[in-house]
Parts: sequence; structure tokens; C-alpha cells
Amino acid sequence: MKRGGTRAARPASWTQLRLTRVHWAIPLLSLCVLLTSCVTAPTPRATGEIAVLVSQDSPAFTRVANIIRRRHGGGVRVYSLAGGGRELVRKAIARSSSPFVVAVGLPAANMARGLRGKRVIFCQVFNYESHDLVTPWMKGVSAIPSVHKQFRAWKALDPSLTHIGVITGADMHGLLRQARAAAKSNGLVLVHRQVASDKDLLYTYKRLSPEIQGLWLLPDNRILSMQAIRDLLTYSAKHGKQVLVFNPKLMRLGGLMSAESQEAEIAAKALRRLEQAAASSNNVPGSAVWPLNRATIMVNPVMMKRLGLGLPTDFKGEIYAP
Amino acid sequence: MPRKPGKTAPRFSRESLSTMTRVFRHWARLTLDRLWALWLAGFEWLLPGSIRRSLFGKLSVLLLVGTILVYLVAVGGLWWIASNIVDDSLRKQANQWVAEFDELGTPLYVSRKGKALLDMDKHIKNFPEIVFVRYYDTTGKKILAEFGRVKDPVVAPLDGDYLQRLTTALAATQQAHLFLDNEDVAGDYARILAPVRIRSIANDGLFDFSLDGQRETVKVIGFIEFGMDHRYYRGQFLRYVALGSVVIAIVFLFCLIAGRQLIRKALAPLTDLQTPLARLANGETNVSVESNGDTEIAVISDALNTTIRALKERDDTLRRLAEYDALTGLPNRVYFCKQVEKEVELFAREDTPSAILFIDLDRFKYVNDALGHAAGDRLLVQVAGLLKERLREQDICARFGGDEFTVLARRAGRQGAEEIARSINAIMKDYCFIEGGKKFNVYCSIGITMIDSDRFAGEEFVTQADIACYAAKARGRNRYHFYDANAKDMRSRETDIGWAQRIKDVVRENRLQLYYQPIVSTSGGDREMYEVLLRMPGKNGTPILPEVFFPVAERFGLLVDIDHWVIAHAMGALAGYRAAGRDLAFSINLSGQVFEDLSFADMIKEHLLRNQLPPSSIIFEITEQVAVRYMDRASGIMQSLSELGCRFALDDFGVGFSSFNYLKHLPVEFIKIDGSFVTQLHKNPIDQAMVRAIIEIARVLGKKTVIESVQDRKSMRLVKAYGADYLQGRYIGEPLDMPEQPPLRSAVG
Repeated sequence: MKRGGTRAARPASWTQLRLTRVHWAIPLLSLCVLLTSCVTAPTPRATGEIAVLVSQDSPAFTRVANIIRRRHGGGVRVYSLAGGGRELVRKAIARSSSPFVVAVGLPAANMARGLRGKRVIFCQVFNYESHDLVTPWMKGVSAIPSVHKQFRAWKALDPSLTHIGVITGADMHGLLRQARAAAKSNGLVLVHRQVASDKDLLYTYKRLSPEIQGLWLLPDNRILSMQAIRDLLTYSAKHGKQVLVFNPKLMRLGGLMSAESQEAEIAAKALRRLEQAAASSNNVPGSAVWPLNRATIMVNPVMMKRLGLGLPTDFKGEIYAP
Repeated sequence: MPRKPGKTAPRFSRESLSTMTRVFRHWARLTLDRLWALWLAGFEWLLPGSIRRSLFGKLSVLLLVGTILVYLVAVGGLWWIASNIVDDSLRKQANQWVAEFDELGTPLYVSRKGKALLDMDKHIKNFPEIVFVRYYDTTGKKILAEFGRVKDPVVAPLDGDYLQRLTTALAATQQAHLFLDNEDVAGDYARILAPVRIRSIANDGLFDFSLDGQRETVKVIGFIEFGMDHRYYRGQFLRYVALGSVVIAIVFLFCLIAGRQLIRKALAPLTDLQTPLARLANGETNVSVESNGDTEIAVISDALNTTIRALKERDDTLRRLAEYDALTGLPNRVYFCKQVEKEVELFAREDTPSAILFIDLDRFKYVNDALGHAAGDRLLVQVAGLLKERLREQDICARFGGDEFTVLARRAGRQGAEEIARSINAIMKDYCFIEGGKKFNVYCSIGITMIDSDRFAGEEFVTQADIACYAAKARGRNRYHFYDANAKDMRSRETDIGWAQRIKDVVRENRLQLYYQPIVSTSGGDREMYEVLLRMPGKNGTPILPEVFFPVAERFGLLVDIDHWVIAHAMGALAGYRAAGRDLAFSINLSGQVFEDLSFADMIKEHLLRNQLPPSSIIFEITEQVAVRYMDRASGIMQSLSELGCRFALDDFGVGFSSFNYLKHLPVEFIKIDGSFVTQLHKNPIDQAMVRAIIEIARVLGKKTVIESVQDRKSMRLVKAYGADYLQGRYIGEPLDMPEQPPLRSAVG
């Protein structure tokens, strides 16, 4: 997941000084990335030609494809399911000489799973377990930004935080394992509830809320509806619960902080897995899904103030200012 | 009716449309008028007199009606608005309940032991409007749970297929719930169905997340059905409407009272006109109308005040004309009598005497006859001035009639009245009327009576003064005399006054009677002639001869009225006989007083013309005394009528002046020798000589002679032998009420 773009920071007066430091850091970081990309200019890889299949032409997917194309140099062919003609696309990929496919998004991953003789790396897929996408020749890159960094930032924001909850649909074992470990390392207790629908989500959350101080809201589309999101955030704001959301836009509804993944990291990890696959015989080696190491963190000063939280001095994230 | 092809549709011309519009307007106006009349009649029937009573009452009724109508409209509007609000509230309430039940019922759909987690009964117990709640599974065939009074009334579960169809319908309309028909439920309940939905954001929808809209997948996982008690809302609705109606009624009642007061205040200037107008209607003109109201009322008030002023001025003028003498400016007899009446009433209250002085000028007739009416009028004006100067301010001096004046001396005792009378006598004694270089001393006789009793009416007091004046005159001129009820002459005078009143009544009531006595010609060749004689009906039916009532009539100036009556009726009768074919001539007696009327000749001409009589058929008889007394006027009138063709006879010749000199100047055709010479004619040689001489002289003068009172045959033969032309008397014919053929006519002939 990727936020829409860099936002101008308009902090409250006491955060002005810290924000100034952050702003110094952003151009420096950007400069480093630029130099890195220059240093890692496209060079012919062992993977040869790569087929990139995107579910739709939304920025979250096309950016990943573009980065892959840029980093891999030549030999990247991008296919899209946005214009229909799924069968034609499937046949075209199947006929292509490249044995490697990067599927961006769930529909693309679902299609790529059926491609015989191809090794597939999927990304930007959240509930991959329920769709049974992991096979020996098909592995993925997580869509969730670094959980550890999320929890660390959250803990930094509220050191008194001890119990957090998470509500998901079925089959989220891999992520939950990772999350529990991250929580433990940050001194947090993660309480998990599994629900089947948005209705269930709200019902469960209202009963769960006495046990937790904050909710980690995952982007599980199966149990989320817009109304459920609104009701959940309204309820949280009303009852003083902190919510870590998956998109900064949700902070307008009462989210305390947001964590987003970075397309560059996703693309880089996808290419690295392809390189490992190229070095392997037939399968894609390694774990089912590689977690991400980075996270773009933003905080909501309004909710912070409302919840009585202060911005830590070593805060590395951004201030959300819609 | 389908239009046939090829034919154009009928169209109305502009004129016919205009006519139709006019007819419709006329019809509408008539209908409205009738409805209005019916409305008013209805109110009149309900509240008799409420509309006709007053403008205020009418406006009040209209205000009441208007208020009731507006009230009904307001209550109707309130009802309509409130019912809509309640309906809307019911729908919103239903929405809220759907959301509530949806959330409360979530365990049923998320947990296998969800029902145990519910505490619905306790929840809905606090809401009496909720009758029952029922949850269905996703197929609609299985009831997951139900709560409330499901069996009272019995509410059958819905069919699963039916629920599915409803779900489709709801999905199409995007409605949260549906109100079901209440066919199987008592009418007091609303049965509401809502699907239980779950939503999920589409695959990959959370990448490029947007708050503005996300594609979602909707799935129905069950149904909620619940019943809402209409009666609860209806009760609330009725309570609010009733309360609102009462509040509106109070407001309207207040407005009605205020409006009534405003109308009363607005109509107050008009109402204030009622009293003065009622007084004006009763004949009062001393009324003033306030004109400081509204403009419209001020215009009416000003107009009324102007009218009242005009009426008052006209009243004053009429009163002046009715109560004042135009010649002297003094009050007249009518006004004087009214004041005397008031004075009598005043005496009854205060016991203060007053006096009435009746003043009669002694030589007025002489001056009037000698110098003419104009001089007489001037004399009256001067005398009136003298009297006014003498009297006190509170006294009233009036011209009673002719040369008679009256004075009401207020609060004057006998001595004071005597002083006033004495001073008036003194003034008149010193007064000298000068006209045409001649001086005339005009005195007056004064009769005095005291208003010292309330036994008599005002007019009786005036009569007493008149009688006293008569007595003063009888005792000599220029003196005064007090009325004495016990004096003999006073009683006689009272009798005369009674006679005068009887004469007036008989003339006014046309009860005088005419008798006709034949006058026959000794030559026998002339037309039938009759003398018209007058009789007054007595109390027992016996005719009263003129000798009885003429003196009184003459004294009270009633002879002119009698003459007019006789002339009119005699000529009318003569016209009738002549129309019947008889050639008659009537001889009519005239008093001297008719010659004071300068229009007498014109009156005779008018009667002749009206009755189409030849003037020669009328002979007017005047006595020798009258002829001499009114010589100047009489000769002129006689000349005028003679030229017209009328003839004159000199009556009672021989007993008065017997002046043959007058005969030369008067245009008389006949000389009627007085009956006193004839009654004993055959026995008295002097009478014979006198009659013979008069006949001889008359013949020389060219006059014809009529012998009156011929009583017997001998007298008849004598006068016939003397050469008399006409005979009249009992021997010739008795006076009869119809002119019959004289029985001795042939004998005379």
C-alpha cells in the first residue's frame, strides 16, 4: 500500500521545531534514494525477460510495475487486466519466453497461479492464504509494511501502550505470527479476534475494546465496509481508543497513526526473489512471503491531543495535516 | 365520442365564449347571493334578530363565522401537518429501530450461541410501541429468534420466497426497510421488514483507498421483522392535535374577543349617531351630532348636522308662520293660546296668578271702511308697536284676529292687570292715527280675566276675556272690564260663543239646509223663480231660521263663510235642475260682509263657469241696509256681475232708509217690498198707499217689484191691481226643500 503522495506538513506550534528537523531529513533521504538508484542503474540480470501482470491501472499497482521495469532494465513486459480480455492476457503471458512473472494485486496473482511453467512472485496481495496463492513456484512479498516498525512507532508515541487488538478474517496465520513477534519485541500484547463480516467486526470490536488500548486495523477487505470503518473509528474516538490505520486518509475519521508500505521496497524485494528463483532450479526458494522492512508512519496531531499524547523527540514519521 | 376523420373539431367563437363567460359570471353571482342569503337566513333562524339587530351584530356574526372557518382550516391544517409529521416520524423511528435491531441481533448471525447473548425482551420492554421482533436466517425459512407479543395478536411468520422477493425489491429501491400490508395482523400494528446485510470492500479495493467511495459487495444474511403499535403514535398524534386545537381555539377566541372589541370601537362613532338620530326621528331638532370621528363618519355627521340645521331653520320658519302674525310680527292666536295653556299649568304648580287682556279697537272698522285695508293694516301695525312698548319683557302680546289683540300679563295680580289695562287705555287715548291728512282717534275696549284657577282650560280663559271685552264695549268705549262669571251679560255672551261654535261646525260639516220658495210673475210669462232660503238643523231636527243664528254669525264674522256655502250649493243644485230640463232662476241672499272680499266677483264667475249656468239665472238679493253700508264696494261688484248678466234685487225695501236716491245708483233689477207692508195689506190703507207708491216709483225707475209675504187672496189681488210684477209668500208657495211647481201659479196667472 502506498500513500497518495507527500503532504505538506502544517504542524501545531510546539511541533514546529521538530518538524523542521524532519523536513531536513526528507530531502536528504530523497537524495540518498536518488543516488542509490543511480548507482543501481538497470543492468542485465540473470532473470532475463520478466512479465509483470497488474490487476488494474491504479497507482498502487502501476508504480510497482514501473519501478520493476526501471530497475530491471530491459526485458520487462507489463500486462494489465484492467481492459478486460483476461484470457488473451493469460495466453500472451503463457506464450511469452519469460519464465518469470510478477503478479501485482490479487486478480493478477489468481491468474498467474494458473500459468504453467512460470515462476511467480506476487505482491500487493493481503489475504493470500485464503486464496491459496503460495505454491512452490509461486511466492510473494508482503503487502503490510514492517509490523515491527509500526509497533515500535506506536509504542514510541504512547509508551503506556500495552494491549493492542487486531481483528481479521480467516487465514491470516503468517501475518499474525509476524505480528505477535513484533508486538512481543515492543512490549505489547496482541489480542486477536477473527470475524466473518463487517457486522461481526463492529460487534466484536465493541466487546473487545475493554480489553485493549488500541486497535491495529488491517486492510482486510473481507470484513471491512466503509460504514463499518466509519462506525469503528467513531466508536474508537468516542471511547478513547487508539487506532493504527492502514491509510492516512482514515486519520480524518479518527485514526491515531497510519503505516504504509513503500512501492520501491516491494519492487526491490520482488526482483530479489526472482533473482533467487532464477538461481534455483524450478521453484521459488525461501519463505512464502517476504515481509517488508520499511514503513511510512504518519500521526494525527488532533487525535494525539485528544488522547493526551505527545510527539516523541526521536519520532521519525510525518505529521498528518489534511 | 370518436371524431370522424375529415371533420374539424367544433370551435367556440370569441362572441360565444364571451357570452358564456357573462352567463357563467351572472350564474355565479346569483348563486353566491343565494348562498349568502341562505346563510344569513340560517343564522336568523338560529339566532333570531341577530343579523337585523344591528350592524355590530351582523359584523360580529360574520367575525364569528370567519373565525370558525379559519379555525377549522387551521385545525385541518394542523391535523394534516401533524399526521404527516407522525407518519414521517414513524418512518424515521422505523429506520432507527431497524438499525437498533440490526445491531442487537448481530450475535444471531455471528455466533452459534448468539441467541443466548441477546437480551432483547428486556430491551424492548421499555418501548411499548414495539409489539414483536423476529429474526430470520438468510433463506428466510428459519426463524432464528423472536421476541415480544408474537402471539397476541397472532403474527404468522413470513414465507421464505416472499422474503426473497422483498429483498430483491428492497435492493432495487435502496430502501432500508419495507412496511408490509397488515392483512394478517390487526390494523393497529405496522409490520416492518428489513434485510440484515453485510458489506465488504471489493478485492484490492483497499489499495488506493478513498473515503469518497469504495466499491462494495453486499450480501443479505438474514431478515428482521418487527411490529410497531400504531395506537401509540396515534394516541400521541391525537394528544398533540387535541392540545394544538385547544391552543388554537384559545388564540382564536382571544382574537374573536379582540376583533369584537375592535369592531365595537370602530363602530362606536356610528353607534353614537343612534341617539341623536332617534331624537331627530321623534321630531326633535335641537340635536347635535359629534363629527370628530373617522373621515367617513365625519362626512355623515356633517351631513346630518347640516340637515338638522336646515330642519331647525325650516321648523323655525314654519313656527313663525304658524305662530306669528305676518303683518304686525306679533304672536298669533295659536301661539297665544299655547302660552296661556302653559300659564295655566304653571299656576297649578306654583299658584301664581296671571292675567289675560282682550283688546278690541273701537273704531277700526270705521277707519278700515273709510280709508281702505292698507290704512287699516298700518293702523294695526302702529297699535301693535304701542302695545309692545308698554308691556313688560315677560308679557306676551298677540294679534288675536282682525282688530283684536290679546295680552298675557305673567305673574300679574288683579291690581297689576288693572294698571296695564288702564295704561293701555291711556296710551290709546293719547294716540292719533293720521292717514291722508286726516286724524282719527282710535280707542280700545279691554276685557280682563285672571288666571287664578286651574278649573278652566286656556281657551276658556281667553273666551272669558273676550266676553269681558264685549261687556266693556257695551258699557262704552275706551274702558276695561273684568270678567265676572256671575254677571248676566257675561252668561249671554257665553251663549253667543256657543252658537258661533255650532255655526262653524255646521258649515264645516256641510249640514246647512237649503229651502226654495217660489216667486211667481203676475204676468205669468216668465221662467220659474225661487228664493233660496237657509235653515240650520236644530238639535231635535227642527230647522232653525236664519233670524236666530244670523246675528251671532254676523258678530263672529261667520256670514262670509255662510254666503260662500250657500252660493256654492245653490248654484250646484240649480245646475242639476237645469240639466233635468227645468228653466229655473234662483234668487240668493247675500250678507254685507261678502263685499269686503274683493275677489267675490271672480268667485261668482268661477261658479257660473263650473256649473255652466247662464248668469241671468242667478239673482242676488241684498238688503237696503247692506247696500247703503257698503255702497262703494257693493256698487262696483254689482256693476261687474251685472255686466256679466247676473241680476240684483234690493231686499226688504221700505223698512230702512227707503231712499229712492240709492235706487238711481244701484244696478238692481228688482225691488222686493218688505213683507211688513203686505201682511195686513187689505186691512191697512196706509200700507196700501205705501205699496202702491213704491210700485209706481219703481216702475218709473224701470225696476221690477216683488211683493213678499203674500198671505191671502185679497192681498194678492190688491198688489196685482197695483201693478206688482212678482209675488212671493205663503199664499203663493211655502218654502220647500225642493223647488216644486207653485200650486197658485195658474191662479196668479
